[in-house]
Amino acid sequence: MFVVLIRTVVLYLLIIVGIRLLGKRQVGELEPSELTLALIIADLASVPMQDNGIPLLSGLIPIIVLLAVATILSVLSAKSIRFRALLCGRPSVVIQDGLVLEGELRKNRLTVDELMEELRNQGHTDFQSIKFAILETNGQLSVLPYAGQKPPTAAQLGLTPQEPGMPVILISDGRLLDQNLKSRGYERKWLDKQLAARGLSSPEQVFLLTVDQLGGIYCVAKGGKAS
Amino acid sequence: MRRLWVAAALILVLVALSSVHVIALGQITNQTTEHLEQARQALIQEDWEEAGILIEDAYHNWEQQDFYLHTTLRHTDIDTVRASFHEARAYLSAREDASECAAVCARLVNQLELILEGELPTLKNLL
Repeated sequence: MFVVLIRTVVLYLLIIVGIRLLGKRQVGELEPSELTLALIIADLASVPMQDNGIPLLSGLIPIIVLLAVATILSVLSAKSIRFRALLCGRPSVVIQDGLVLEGELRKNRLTVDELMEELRNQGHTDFQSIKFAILETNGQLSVLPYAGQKPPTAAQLGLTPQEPGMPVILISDGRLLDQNLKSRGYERKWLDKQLAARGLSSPEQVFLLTVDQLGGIYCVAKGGKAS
Repeated sequence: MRRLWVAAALILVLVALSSVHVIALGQITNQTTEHLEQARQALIQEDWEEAGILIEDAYHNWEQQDFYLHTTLRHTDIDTVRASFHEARAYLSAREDASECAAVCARLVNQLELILEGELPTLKNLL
């Protein structure tokens, strides 16, 4: 039992380190080569994990080799456009000027239903409003509507809204993050005042409190509403 | 670019270690099979004393590498060899059937050769 336990920990740590070294992509954004790698590694690790009769090295070596090869391929694909196209394929335009390109759909084995689902996910229901829809190499659909169909930006409307910047968490689940409070240039007195204004007496009563660069506060009391 | 060289170096190190493993395993199995082959010849001539010394030498030679063998080979293969050694040693203690003991030695030699053969980077193994 101990052997299985230790082997599992060793293999798990190796996979975590390996995947970490490969980068921060999410599972849904994996390129075909990365997806293959993930599937093979999962299978390779599970066999020596369960079978004590197989040396641990038989699981470790293939995983290390795969990760090394994947690293080499990713560096080469970053260096060479041709190599990248060979390894990952090229993006496919599936809608152009509002017209669904049947040939491209067939080539990518994408059904109209799947295409419509993807479009709906991105808030588009009308093919006619789309200038380009591109199926990316990681399987995601990028949709570029006609200029006239895009929502206007503040700049286009001649507005100059203030930039609130990135909000920083000051209280997380009742715990005061002093460092964040100081980094924003506020003191505890200021925070107590803000809490009192919301009917709260201590950070322990707050689930989440953030402040942006303009001093805008978002506060959620424990078991309460946002204010 | 540094990641590329690190990954390439890692693969080269593994290739080198694999080569060292094949050479080391070759030496271990060759030494053991040599003793077993000599023991088999001695058993054919019913020289139990000589055969006993050679089989014990072969067994100790194999057992000395137990940790290394367990970390690099399938445990079932090593256990099979160990079981055959125990069988040969049992025949040696009984000293009754030299031909049976010689047959066990021949089987051991065959098992060791198969273990080594399975680790060689030959086309047969690759395919």
